[in-house]
Amino acid sequence: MTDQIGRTLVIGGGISGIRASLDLAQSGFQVLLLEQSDRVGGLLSQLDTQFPTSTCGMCRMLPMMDRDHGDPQCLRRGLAHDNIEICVSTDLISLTGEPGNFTVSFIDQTDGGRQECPVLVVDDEKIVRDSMKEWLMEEGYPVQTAASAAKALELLETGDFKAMLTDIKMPGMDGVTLLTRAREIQPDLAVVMMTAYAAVDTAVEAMKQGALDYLVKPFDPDAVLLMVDRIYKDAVAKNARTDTVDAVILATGATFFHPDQGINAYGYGRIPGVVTNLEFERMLSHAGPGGMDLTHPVTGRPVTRIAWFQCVGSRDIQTGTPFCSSTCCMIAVKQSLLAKTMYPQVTEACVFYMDLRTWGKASDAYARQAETAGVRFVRARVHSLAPGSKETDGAIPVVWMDPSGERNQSLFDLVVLAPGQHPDAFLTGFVKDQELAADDWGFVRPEPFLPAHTSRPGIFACGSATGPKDIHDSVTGATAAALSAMQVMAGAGRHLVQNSEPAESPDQQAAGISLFPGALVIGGGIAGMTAALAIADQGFEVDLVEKTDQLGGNLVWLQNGIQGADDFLEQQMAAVQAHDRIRVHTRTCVAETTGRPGRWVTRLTPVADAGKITDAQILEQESGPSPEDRSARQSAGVPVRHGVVVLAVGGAEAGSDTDGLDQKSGIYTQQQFQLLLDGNDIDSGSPLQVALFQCHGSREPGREYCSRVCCPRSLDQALRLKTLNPDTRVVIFYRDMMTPGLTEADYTEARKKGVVFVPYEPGNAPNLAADDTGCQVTWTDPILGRAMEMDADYVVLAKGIRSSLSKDLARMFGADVDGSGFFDQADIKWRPVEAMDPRVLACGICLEPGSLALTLASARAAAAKAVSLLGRQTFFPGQDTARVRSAFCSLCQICIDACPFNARFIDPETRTLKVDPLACQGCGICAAACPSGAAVVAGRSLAPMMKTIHAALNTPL
Amino acid sequence: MIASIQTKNQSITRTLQDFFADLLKTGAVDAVLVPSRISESLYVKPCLITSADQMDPTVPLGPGFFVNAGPMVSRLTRTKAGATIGVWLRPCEVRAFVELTKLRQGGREEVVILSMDCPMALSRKDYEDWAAQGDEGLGDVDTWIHTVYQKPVTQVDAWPVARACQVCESPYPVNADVSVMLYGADLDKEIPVRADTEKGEKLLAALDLTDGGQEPEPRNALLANLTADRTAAFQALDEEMRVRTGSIDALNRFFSACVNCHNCRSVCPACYCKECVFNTDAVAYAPTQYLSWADKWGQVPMPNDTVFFHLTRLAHIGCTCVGCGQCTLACPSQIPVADLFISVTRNVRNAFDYVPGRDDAEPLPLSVFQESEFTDIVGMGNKEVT
Repeated sequence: MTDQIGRTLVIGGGISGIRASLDLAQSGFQVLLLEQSDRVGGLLSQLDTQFPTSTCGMCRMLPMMDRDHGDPQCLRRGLAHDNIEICVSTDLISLTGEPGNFTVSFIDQTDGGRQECPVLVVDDEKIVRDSMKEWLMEEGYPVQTAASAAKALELLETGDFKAMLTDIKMPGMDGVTLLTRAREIQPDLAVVMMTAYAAVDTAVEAMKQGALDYLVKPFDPDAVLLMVDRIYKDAVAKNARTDTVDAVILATGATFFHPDQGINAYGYGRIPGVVTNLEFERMLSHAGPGGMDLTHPVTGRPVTRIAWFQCVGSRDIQTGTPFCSSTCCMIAVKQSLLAKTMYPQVTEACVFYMDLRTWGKASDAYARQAETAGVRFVRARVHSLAPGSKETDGAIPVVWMDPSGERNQSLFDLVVLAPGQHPDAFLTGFVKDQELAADDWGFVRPEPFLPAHTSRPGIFACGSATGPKDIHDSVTGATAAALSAMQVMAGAGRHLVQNSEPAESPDQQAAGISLFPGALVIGGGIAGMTAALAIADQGFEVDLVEKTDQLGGNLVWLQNGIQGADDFLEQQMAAVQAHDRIRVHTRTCVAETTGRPGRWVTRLTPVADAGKITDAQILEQESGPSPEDRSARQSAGVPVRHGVVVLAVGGAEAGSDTDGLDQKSGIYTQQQFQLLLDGNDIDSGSPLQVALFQCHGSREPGREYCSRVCCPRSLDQALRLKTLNPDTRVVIFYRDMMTPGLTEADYTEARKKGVVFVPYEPGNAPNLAADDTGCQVTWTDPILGRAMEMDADYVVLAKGIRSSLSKDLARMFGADVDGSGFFDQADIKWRPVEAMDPRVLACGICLEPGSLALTLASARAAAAKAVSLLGRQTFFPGQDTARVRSAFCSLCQICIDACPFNARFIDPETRTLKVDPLACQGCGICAAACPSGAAVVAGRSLAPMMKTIHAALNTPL
Repeated sequence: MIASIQTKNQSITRTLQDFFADLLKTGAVDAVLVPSRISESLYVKPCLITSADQMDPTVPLGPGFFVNAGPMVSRLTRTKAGATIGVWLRPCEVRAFVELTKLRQGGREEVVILSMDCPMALSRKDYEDWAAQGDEGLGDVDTWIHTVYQKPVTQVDAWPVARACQVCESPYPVNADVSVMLYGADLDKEIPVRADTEKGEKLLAALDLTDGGQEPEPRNALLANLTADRTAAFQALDEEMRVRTGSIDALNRFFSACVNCHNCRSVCPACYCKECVFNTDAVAYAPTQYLSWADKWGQVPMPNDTVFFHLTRLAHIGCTCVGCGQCTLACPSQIPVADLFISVTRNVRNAFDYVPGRDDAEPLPLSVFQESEFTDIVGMGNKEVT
């Protein structure tokens, strides 16, 4: 068993599944990818564009290395990689086992799939028969219905059924009698009794007579499906293929809320012109049904006025979804921006929202772009819709109240609904079968501090299976899950795929690049420690550089504010210090680096004024070098040779060290207030007046991004204040409460506990008047329209996060910082933890602002990328990278200057020009810059270009 | 520092020859590169000379200009030679060399660049006629020198200077180590010499030249007038080229005498490729290709790719053409190649605000990658979706 190639099962072929599969495949492991539908790509294959590029960039996540082992193509059309076995239209039948030895069985739907499991539904109520038929047929089951037991018996005589769902109380023959008679005709028929709650006893009695199970009315569609799935799986189990794998990654995504379920206040399916955002996306698509003509789906007339309604089946107690679906706000921003800029005919693009959740580092600027383009954002929730009339020329009248209670009405040709994401039936069944811990809504609950781990060892989860996620978080989480799978495979002693014959030609081999087999991790916070541990655990040497005198970074002050974080931090610090492959260099920073990317020789130097040096340390220094000092001195001058670099320098609360905050008057930053709370330094014996002020200096010019952590932190602080004294008055001044995903629950909880939420617009922020005795907060209440005031004991300013990554450090390794000072990713969505050069990685809050969970995910993702590179060591140019025809090369180095990826260099030994295969993107700029044709991109010869020129000139020259 | 060299025997040629000889004798340089007659013929070429007694055939100033020495200096400096070479270059030759150093085809470390206010050049035919007028098979160099530096002229006696020189707006040294200032100088008396770099100062000091000279008083005004005249002349040339080559058809007519000898490429100081793409199989078409073109266009001139060749060269040297006019001088078919190249490339350079030879540190515009540049031309980087 130990002499096997590592193999992981990935369930779900959406972007999370693809990303995890590619990461494992690139690292040399085998992947079995199961997908229930008939194609990979998931939801993304239906989207034409993504923000912030307003293009599709899915292919950017294709391998940057060993590209020839995959088939570079449009990922919306398919995926191919030597190490990935893709099984689409495949149903998982069973999964058993433990890490290093799972047995999976699955079946191809076209080969004894659901078509082989016909279902008979028997009920005297037509609505029950019809809805059951619709649900089951949508999942691929052949369904027949019978209105009576007699009719059912007739059908059973002539047809072959695997399952029968029957009502108990029916006119004529009842369900229990039908059960007995039916099993006489078909002894192996699985029968499920359907009953009202009052008749459960009868159903239980029926089970004694051979019924498989029962369902209680009214039905949850998922429960019906699970039941039938179970019958189906038992029925086809004998035909299923079985396989063994070492680890499992669950990436099944989520399903969308059906807006016509329940009260359907917006008349989806009833009012012409009400569509879902996915349907609208298809209307804008090049490949969509309308060929990009933005016309009304019923009347065919050009659409000029469009409204977007957010939170349909999200943030809605009525539909049982108290969580936020995370992605819909940005989808609406993107769609409205595209509609407004692509179609001059669109005069009105209006987004109705509750909070515009533009969290993350690029979203807010993108929303401003939409606003500038003329998209109108209206904070309102429309109650319901009525169809258009003759007077409105068919347009839908939309009525809403503004905050002051004023009634507004506008006409729209289209209303685009944003249905929320929900766990799907498969996930519900899987969670149940595998006994995974799940949250109240059915999403897989990750283990604390292990964002990709489920409660079952060896089974990992990523993407929306763990709660609604956007592309960026899904891609990061998928790579983190791949690392977890790699760790299981390494633990089981599994091997990588060995190519018996090198595919590379001698030319390619000569141009190959070998990496130094070690990693340099800069920053000893939780991100850097997590990455260092993960890389070292996979067998590679790590140098961990920390400029202050202790590890831990921001988690040192935050540890008491997150449950269990103190123990976790202590464990991680101990593990890092004890690891024999990690060399920790505290009070040290990077002085300079030489050598080519991947063959870096980096010199470390002691930090003169390492962070907070205490008086005790000064004394120590005077009496002799402290152990830290000795360690720093030993590090100095010793160059570190490394093949990858992980930038994890972290960040800090923005603005806190520059503003002269007056704590005497009770004004604190969020971090300072957290320390008060954690130190139990708040006397709430008598009720306090506390104002929490969100977005202070954030989401405005100078810091044009949302830091993602402040709203959840403020809610946590508000709840703690309310717990200390329920009579404490807490007012949160906010622009948009950013509680995406499941953090929405805290928002709801805070409102229940009586926390007051007051929205404000930029330029109309509450006014603070501080003196020695306290701080008076004054504002105009948007609902009352009246001036309000509060003598606050505490005013807490949420200032957000700034990155500590310097341009100099980033550029030392050929990377850069973005406009907001964070690490400039190769692609914010598709390559979220790496620079254009895949050997330069980043994680934590110098990469992007985010919670501890996101930091851990990005750290593990960065480690996965590092491990993947270091495990291969030597890379050969792919077929689509640039080459050099040295015979023609004048060594003028124009191509080196022109290359935007720093991929070309002169080999000092041979005095010839070479191409770095990991950095080259095959863009061809070198070939355009080179006058002598010495720079070429394989597969793109000069001849077609010459022909094009001849054809364009259309005359003999 | 500006020094003054006393004119000997009222001969600028002799004075300069002695100056070069002194450079060798004092060991200030190990060799000099100076235009010199070949086997007492009328033709001059840059010659590398290491012996002070080999100065007689040299012609430091004159209208003969058949090789741009820029690439020759590049040949001498591609790798370290361990010797210092003083190179005597016309301004357009300095420009060519500076561009070649940017393209890593040579380096300045071991050369001392001596340049001068430009004496201009004659076309081949006119040069031969001019030379025939003088004794010893060479024209009257002294008269030439005394004419061209006194006031802006476009011809000397009966001979109009080359068109490239008539439109050259920078006929004075830029980026040299030592500049010899001849415009407006009292040439019978002295030649003012300015050291522009530390290297230049060291060279003059080696010859015991001290800071006793000054720039000829009328030089600046003269240069201003000269430049103004030439700008006007360039605009006339530019207008003429727009008419003569403004369409594919007109361009075809302009180059109709071209026989693809590629002489213009051979003499071009900006063309530096190890192997020209027009010597490779990229332009080796199958016989059937010619026939299909003939079907399509009615006729295919053979050799073909004549205009295509010139267009490619224009694309390649658009920013680095120094306007020396060698291509016209070298054309056996009397095509005014340089007129077109000067007109087109000067406009290209203006678009990038780039001047070849102006500054060693100025990067070549077409090798610097900028994501959004000329979006109106390339149609990329334009956020507007159409």
